Amino acid sequence: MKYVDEYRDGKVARQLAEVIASTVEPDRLYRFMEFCGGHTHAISRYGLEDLLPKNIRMIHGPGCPVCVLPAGRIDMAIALAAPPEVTLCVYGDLMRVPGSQRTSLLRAKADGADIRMVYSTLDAISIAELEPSREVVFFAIGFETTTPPTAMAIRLAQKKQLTNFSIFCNHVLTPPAIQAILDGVDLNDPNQVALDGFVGPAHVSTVIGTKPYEFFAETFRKPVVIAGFEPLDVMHAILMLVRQINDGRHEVENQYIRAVTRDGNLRAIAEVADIFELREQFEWRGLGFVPFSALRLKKAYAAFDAERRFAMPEITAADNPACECGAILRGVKKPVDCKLFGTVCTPENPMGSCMVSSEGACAAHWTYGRFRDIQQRKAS
Amino acid sequence: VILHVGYALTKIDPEEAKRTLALLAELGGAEPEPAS
Repeated sequence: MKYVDEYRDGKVARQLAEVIASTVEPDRLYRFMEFCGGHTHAISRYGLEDLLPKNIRMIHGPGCPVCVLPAGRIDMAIALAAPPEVTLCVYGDLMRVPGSQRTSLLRAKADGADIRMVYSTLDAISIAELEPSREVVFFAIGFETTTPPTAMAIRLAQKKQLTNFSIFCNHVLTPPAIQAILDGVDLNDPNQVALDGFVGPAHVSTVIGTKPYEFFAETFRKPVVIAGFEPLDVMHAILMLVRQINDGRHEVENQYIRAVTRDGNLRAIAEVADIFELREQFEWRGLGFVPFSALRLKKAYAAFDAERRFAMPEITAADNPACECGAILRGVKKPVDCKLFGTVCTPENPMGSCMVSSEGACAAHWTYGRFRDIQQRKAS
Repeated sequence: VILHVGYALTKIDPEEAKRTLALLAELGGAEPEPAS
């Protein structure tokens, strides 16, 4: 595929690895968080850690929408789908995300709830049009990449005068999550993550641009390099971060110049700003309640807001106490540090949200990374 | 274009894409592909 295959060239990746190896200062530790699940997936799938010097450590971040959705919001969705007149439309990954008490939307569907998997907001709109007697609710989740499509669906529903369509809004924002992680950075506390720089989001940044990260680079003195999702993009971004650290710089740099600009997609930003407003706080799996980190529909669009329309009570629920998803999402622990990993928790039977989506740190490690562990054990 | 849940997020800029590839090739010490 054009503009994809070229960025997966193994020969260039090995050459880049040599450049990185000769650029790192041997006595220095470089701890980089890749915020996005897309990067986590690329790092695991292409075995990038094998190409990096030992003093570069990649830490998985919370940028996987399915992973950070707390159990309480799944419980709320299950309750929402219980009345017989409701059809709940969800993206496929969400089906298996564990709620509390070992529930999931998939189990609720098996118990008789009308929960349907969709690929796009437009599918949910079509269902609402074709089945006017159903109360069709779209379970809206995701970062800044999936919010504009939800905004488009609201616009379309308004235009078509659909009175049986609403959304259960769970859209979250990247910058407050980065801030929550950086607020927790403590080089002396083993329960907190230590970080030297960020590989910044690819697709999210096509929408929001590079400008929102300038605050973090400046205030927290951490370099940020926005990177594409292909393996050469990630390697290139790591080299750019290493160079910044060696030079004592902390800037926002854009590796993904083929798709990301400083201002982002202004049309999408304007559309989202017109329909959504900030929530004062929102619960994240792993990060807890983060101020001003999520969106809800403005009052003018209350008719499309399932939380208002169905007077949904807020539910906060505890995760499985043995699950380490929270610490993994904060970058404090690795998937193998969890005693459930690969024993009772696998992608076929996920106990925690990080094992559900292919972008999740645990699922990525299960699918690709664990084979590296076996080789390392054999070698030692 | 870059697609996400059925919508185009943005268009790939072919010139910038070539520039990145040329830079990657240069970093790796190989001859960059001519930007045609």
